[in-house]
Amino acid sequence: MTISNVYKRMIQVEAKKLTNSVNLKIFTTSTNLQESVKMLEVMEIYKKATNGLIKTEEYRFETNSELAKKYNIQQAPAILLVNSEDDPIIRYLAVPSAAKIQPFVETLKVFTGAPNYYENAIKEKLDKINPSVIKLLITDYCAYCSTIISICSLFTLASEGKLQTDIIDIMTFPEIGEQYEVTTVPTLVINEDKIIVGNVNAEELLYEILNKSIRIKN
Amino acid sequence: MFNIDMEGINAEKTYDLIVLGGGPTAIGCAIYAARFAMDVLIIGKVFGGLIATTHVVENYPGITSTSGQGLMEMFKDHLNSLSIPYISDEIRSIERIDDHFVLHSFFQKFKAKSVVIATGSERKKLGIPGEEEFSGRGVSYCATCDGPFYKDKRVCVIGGSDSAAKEALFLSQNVKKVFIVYRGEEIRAEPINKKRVEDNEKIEIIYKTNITEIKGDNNVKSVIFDNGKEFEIDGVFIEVGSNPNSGLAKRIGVKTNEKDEIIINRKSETNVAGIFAAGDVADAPFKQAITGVAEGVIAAYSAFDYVKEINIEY
Ligand SMILES: Cc1cc2nc3c(=O)[nH]c(=O)nc-3n(C[C@H](O)[C@H](O)[C@H](O)COP(=O)(O)OP(=O)(O)OC[C@H]3O[C@@H](n4cnc5c(N)ncnc54)[C@H](O)[C@@H]3O)c2cc1C
Repeated sequence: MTISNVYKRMIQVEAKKLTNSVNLKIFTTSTNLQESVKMLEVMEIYKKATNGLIKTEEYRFETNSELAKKYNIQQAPAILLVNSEDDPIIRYLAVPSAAKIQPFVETLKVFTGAPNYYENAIKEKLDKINPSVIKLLITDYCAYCSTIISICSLFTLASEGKLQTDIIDIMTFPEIGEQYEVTTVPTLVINEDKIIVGNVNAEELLYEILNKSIRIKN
Repeated sequence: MFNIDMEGINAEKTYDLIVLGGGPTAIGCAIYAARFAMDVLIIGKVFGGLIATTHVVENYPGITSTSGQGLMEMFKDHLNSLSIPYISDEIRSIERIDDHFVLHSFFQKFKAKSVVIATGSERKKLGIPGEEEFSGRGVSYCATCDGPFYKDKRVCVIGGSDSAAKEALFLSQNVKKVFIVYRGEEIRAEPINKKRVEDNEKIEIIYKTNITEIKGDNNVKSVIFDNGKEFEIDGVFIEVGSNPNSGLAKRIGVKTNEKDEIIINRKSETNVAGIFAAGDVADAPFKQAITGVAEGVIAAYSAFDYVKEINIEY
């Protein structure tokens, strides 16, 4: 078993909150075999805990390059949540364990119909929201990351395709952390342009995607 | 760790009690309120509070040793077992309307008959040149979060408190060398942590020194001491205490002391009827998770009494 019993139990408790079924696509790779195996094992725990409400399609990155290209997957392992148009809207380049468990389940819940706290605020401003890809660089030991994963994911789900969020564990993908010279988590990269370091709240993120100025803080 | 779970949340109803905060104080308070059969909602900006940023907690009775996040996970389990709703949001203002309170966030409005303010404190900044500029590029306020990025590097911790000592101890597991830079003559850590610092070969304490500037190019490269010396360093961890998050309370007339801490009595009451406060935001001289929890629990009991007394649909 690659994850601790504490997290296994957390998954079992959280996953029970899911009431509708959801399909996820998983890309694994032999170049990152350890994390790929861990991701599959963790997803098995989720699947069991939800009595099969979570369904997964598994693809090997190396042998499904066309599909990977279609979903813009350059690294694996990755989990994809795709919308009805088959566009990936939320991608986890991260094993959904530890601090990611609760936001992951919450995202699936909202994706399958549970109310979204930010729905009204996002819908109201939808025409002013710039289409954006948000890369959220996190680690498991970051105390603030769980909340920002939730905020980005729920914004994305309410955005009718205008937003896409990538949740990237930079301990699993250190090269991505190095690319953005990350020394503080969470770090948000919006449209490969703006880098926001530290703990950002929902209101500040909303301003950012509305292209207003943002107060950057820790 | 904690999220925007809409389940069990109803913006239309008037809660018996809304607890503001996501740290140990708020959770302790809400657990007791739920057991008093109060209709309680917790609203906190970030779940976990300050304690979740420390790598080890060894002074919470019943738990010999765990991480701050680990402790808060246990708190979360306890919350879940009582089905207490939690919402992750920041309350911007509180107004009194007749005999209840309306709490406003950017996204939502909530109503409550009583409010416990457990908003803790915000890390203090040094306010020196380079601090803002290099924030996230070598300047950090959380060793547990960012320490692992400094493997085999030289870092300094600014401050002389127990928290500063613990941050230095955590950092020493990974980095090449930690310098504690402290303006005083002796660090104020708990004796057990002071001894650990003294025994740790990777930690060196530089006494009677302030830093006046942080310098670098892309990332931090050095700090300037108040004796003019330039000191090469890769990371600066600032741990110089914190300021209470009491602005929200002050705006509705809650009294604070000269340190901006909310003045409470032994029942965790403030000067405003129906508003209680507890934990790091309040005026106790010694602030820890356990003391915050205790004040939070007392606040829950006082709020219970208060709501019973005003007897609005209760
Ligand atoms: C490095 C370090 C190590 C420590 N080690 C220990 C230890 O070993 N043992 C120990 O007992 N204590 C320790 N402490 C102290 C301990 O962390 C605090 O005493 C404790 O966290 C106080 O709890 P609190 O709930 O009152 O406040 P906090 O933990 O600060 O929580 C306040 C909460 O309120 C939220 N909030 C703020 N404003 C708003 C708003 N407007 N609306 C909604 N929510 C808001 C914040 O997001 C936060 O979640 C340590 C502190 C530090 C910094």
